[in-house]
Amino acid sequence: MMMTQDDRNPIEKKSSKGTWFVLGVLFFLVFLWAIYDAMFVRPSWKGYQRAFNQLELGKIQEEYEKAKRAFNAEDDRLDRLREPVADESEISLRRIRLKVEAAEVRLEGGEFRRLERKLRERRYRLADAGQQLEFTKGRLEEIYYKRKHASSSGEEVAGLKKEYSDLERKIAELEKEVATKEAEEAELQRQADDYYVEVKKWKDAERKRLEPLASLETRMKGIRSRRPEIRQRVIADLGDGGTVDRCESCHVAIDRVGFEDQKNPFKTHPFREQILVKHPIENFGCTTCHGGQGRATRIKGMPLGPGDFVHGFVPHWTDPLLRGDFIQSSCIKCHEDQRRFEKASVAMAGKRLFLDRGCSGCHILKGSETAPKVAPSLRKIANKVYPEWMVSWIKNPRGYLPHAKMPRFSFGIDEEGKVEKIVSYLIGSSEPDELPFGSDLEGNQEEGKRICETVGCLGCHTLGNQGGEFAPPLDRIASKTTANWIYNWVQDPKHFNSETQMPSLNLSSREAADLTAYLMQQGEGPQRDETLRERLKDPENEKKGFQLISQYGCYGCHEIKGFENAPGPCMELTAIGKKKVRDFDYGDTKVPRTWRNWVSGKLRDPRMYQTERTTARMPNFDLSWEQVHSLTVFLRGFKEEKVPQRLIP
Amino acid sequence: MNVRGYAGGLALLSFLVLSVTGIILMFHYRPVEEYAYLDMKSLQFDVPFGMFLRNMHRWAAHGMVILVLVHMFRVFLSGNYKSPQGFNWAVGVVLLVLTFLMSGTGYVLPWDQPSFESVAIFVRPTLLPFYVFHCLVLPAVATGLMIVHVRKATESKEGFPLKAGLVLLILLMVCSILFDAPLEEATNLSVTRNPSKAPWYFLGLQEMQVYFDPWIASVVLPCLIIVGLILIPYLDVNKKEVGHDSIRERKFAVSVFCFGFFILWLLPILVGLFLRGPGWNLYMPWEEWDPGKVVAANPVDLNLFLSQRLGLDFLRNEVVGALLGLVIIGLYYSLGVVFYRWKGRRSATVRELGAVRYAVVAFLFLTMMALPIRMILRWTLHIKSVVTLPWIGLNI
Repeated sequence: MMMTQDDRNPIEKKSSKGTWFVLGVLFFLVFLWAIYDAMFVRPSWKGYQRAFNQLELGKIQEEYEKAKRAFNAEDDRLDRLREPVADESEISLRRIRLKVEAAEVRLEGGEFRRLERKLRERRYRLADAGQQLEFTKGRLEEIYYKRKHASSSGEEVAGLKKEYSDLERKIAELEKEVATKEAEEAELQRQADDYYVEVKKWKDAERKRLEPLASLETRMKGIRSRRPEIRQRVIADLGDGGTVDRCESCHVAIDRVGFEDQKNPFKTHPFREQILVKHPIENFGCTTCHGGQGRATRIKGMPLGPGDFVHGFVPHWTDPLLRGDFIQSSCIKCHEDQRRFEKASVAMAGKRLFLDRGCSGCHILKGSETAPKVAPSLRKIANKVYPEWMVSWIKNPRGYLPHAKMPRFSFGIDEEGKVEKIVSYLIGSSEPDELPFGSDLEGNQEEGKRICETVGCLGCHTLGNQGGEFAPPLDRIASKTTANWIYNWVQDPKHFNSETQMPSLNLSSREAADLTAYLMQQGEGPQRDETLRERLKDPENEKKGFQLISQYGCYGCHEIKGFENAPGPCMELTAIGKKKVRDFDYGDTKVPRTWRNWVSGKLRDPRMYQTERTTARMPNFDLSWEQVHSLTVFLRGFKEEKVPQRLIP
Repeated sequence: MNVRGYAGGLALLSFLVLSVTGIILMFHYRPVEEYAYLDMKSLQFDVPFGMFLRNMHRWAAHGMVILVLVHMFRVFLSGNYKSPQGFNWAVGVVLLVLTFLMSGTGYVLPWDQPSFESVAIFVRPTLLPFYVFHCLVLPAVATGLMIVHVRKATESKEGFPLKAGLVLLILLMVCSILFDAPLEEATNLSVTRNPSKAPWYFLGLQEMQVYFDPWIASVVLPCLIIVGLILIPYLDVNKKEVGHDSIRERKFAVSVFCFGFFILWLLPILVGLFLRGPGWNLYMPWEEWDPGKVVAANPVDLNLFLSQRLGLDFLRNEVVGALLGLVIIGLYYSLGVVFYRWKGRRSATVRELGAVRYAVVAFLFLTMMALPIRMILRWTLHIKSVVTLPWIGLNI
């Protein structure tokens, strides 16, 4: 069966020898290539380890040369001293070696030779006696067994008994003999030792002198004998099915002091003291914080085509190395509650922003479900502000207040109408509230100004160019709130909003009236728009307003009647950090498809991915690029990873 | 060098390579959902020569499928399936199917996303059965059949192509060094790739799902193909000399086979492999894939189409529609009878076939031709199905 055509064709057979040869050589070469590829090309970490060993060796070599120079200089100095010196450490190496030599010469002398021969002979005799003793003991055991056996089978035992006691006696004699010989041997040994003591003393002195150099030599020897090996950390309870991080196979010195100024991968962790020591690699691994493909050992991709397996920049690896500020997103996986956090300042800024702007009002994010609503309650809003103001405020909060926290919604088509409908619902649903202090105000502006400046309003509120920034500015308050409301509010803020942070100022009605009169001078009153007010009363508009509020999620930040238990209307962010690029909707944009681009684009301009068919509802928070960046970093950390309890301090 | 007869021997060699590499790989693989993917990763990065072995296994598997197809085509062209090799041809067809199954079950074992999806189409995915079939049952059966197949075939044939075998081994090794077998992300039950493509040798069937019910495309059609292939030696009564020179004398057999092989089998595979993108839409190779792409397709059932065109409302009735479709199919198959009546007397071939064999040939031929007809109806008239049988959930 294994017969080729060639065997039957003599002409082809001739030429086939050449073909066979070429094929054979080719096969062999490819085979060698496969071995070379598997042993040297793919495990690229081997090369890095060898390079590191050379690097470390070089460092120690340098140290060694230095130590040797110092040693030689010191030794030369000692050598010039005159003998004798009190301390052995004051004797130069050359002199120590002479002493060793002299002591060793004594060992060569005839006296010591004779002693040694005698000792050897005594040792043999002692060994002979010891052997005889062992044999006799063996014989004793045998007789003991025979006697027992005989007595159990009822045979004659008297002879054996006698033999047994004879042997016992003999053993006692032998033991005595051995003891005597041992004593003799020990005595001779002591005599011989005296000769050695001198040698040992000077050899010890020599070793002691050379010790600083010897330890360096041992280290160099250790490095030279190193073979490349995979260095890995296996942490069973981290990640999916355990974390196996082999990063240290190349990043050899990541946890070692002394390589701070090297280049990667041989560098010491730049924050070894602050971070790595507190998060030991054996507990945390590397990829837990840095991402990347821990199991991978190939820095290069296939011979054809790019790819960086270990850092995870290859197709189908979903968790590539985190770079730049994004590494901070790993910190917040565990350090949730830390407010100030120097090493993760960007991520923490993102977190503060997230809480401050009330993102979790609309977006579910595990861990912040219970965050309080960030904006004032609207349950009694009708008593407080003019409808005209509400419309213009919702349309563009920053038109009234340049640093307003409230975002711009950009309702798109028929913005005016939509805003009016929302206002219609808000006013319609607002609870009627009898003003507790009535409305009999007839205040004195001058007096009001004095009160305003003395009672502490400007501690929190801005007015003119002075005052604090904790509370809303009062510059244009007359266009916003009614006089009645201010009059009542300043007397008892908690009456309208039990959550308010404004303290009661203990003002009398008189003072409140004066203050109100003063404040109503700040800005112009609203231009009453009767047709608007008429439209707001339309129940149809109110109904549509309800729908708009639930659609756009106003209740995420404000308390609104009718939306007490409404769920957040937006995408859950709990696993946003591991959302895949292909799962994002980029609309009609040409944004390069990356996680970071999508998220920061959305934060910067929430309407950018909107198309004719899709309506984006997220409002524009007018974030700066810096704020967008820190929020993006913060969100990157949400990967729904379980952190084992043992790692949480 | 004579190229004839190489493919079969090389397929056998591929099988040997697969057995050797497969056994070594078994030492490093645990057929458990939790570990399978991790073991793949350790083969990739950990096991000495792991990736090389896996690559050899993967590329040899693809090679074997291609070689088996080439082998079958070559044997058909040379007419070597004819008596006394009819039985061996049948064994060969079974081996072809086994090759597909071995390759297909192996596709599941890495337990990455494509593995999982290729299984999820059919059954609830579990790894162990696929492992047992892949490593034990199928190779055992295939080995037995190969022994039969090779013994029968080599009674009168040339030997094993040693030189070509060496070339194949060299090529496999070079490929294994240069190209890594793909390993995508770990299985995630909650997502499906778009497009979710089957391994290439099943893409023809997946492509047919565009035109037919999954049940027809993935069960009825393959069965008919297998049965039809096995029957070829018994249906072909042409006693012309075996060998390449006889192609001219077997115009009908060769052209029908080529049509089925290239147009209905390989072409859909190529279309599925290179021209299908997200949403199973058509994309030219230079076009960018866009998951959001929308192509308006408004296919209607035949009875609705006719009722709209002819203005006959009663055709919209389900029962009437189904009957109409069945009648049309009946008429289509009766073309065979018409041809028999018309040509039967004058054609020596038809006479030689006899009534029964003629009926089988006519049925298989018309069924085969129904595929392109059906596809053309879909492209031109947007006919979704000819017969709709909602009672058994079947559309034809």
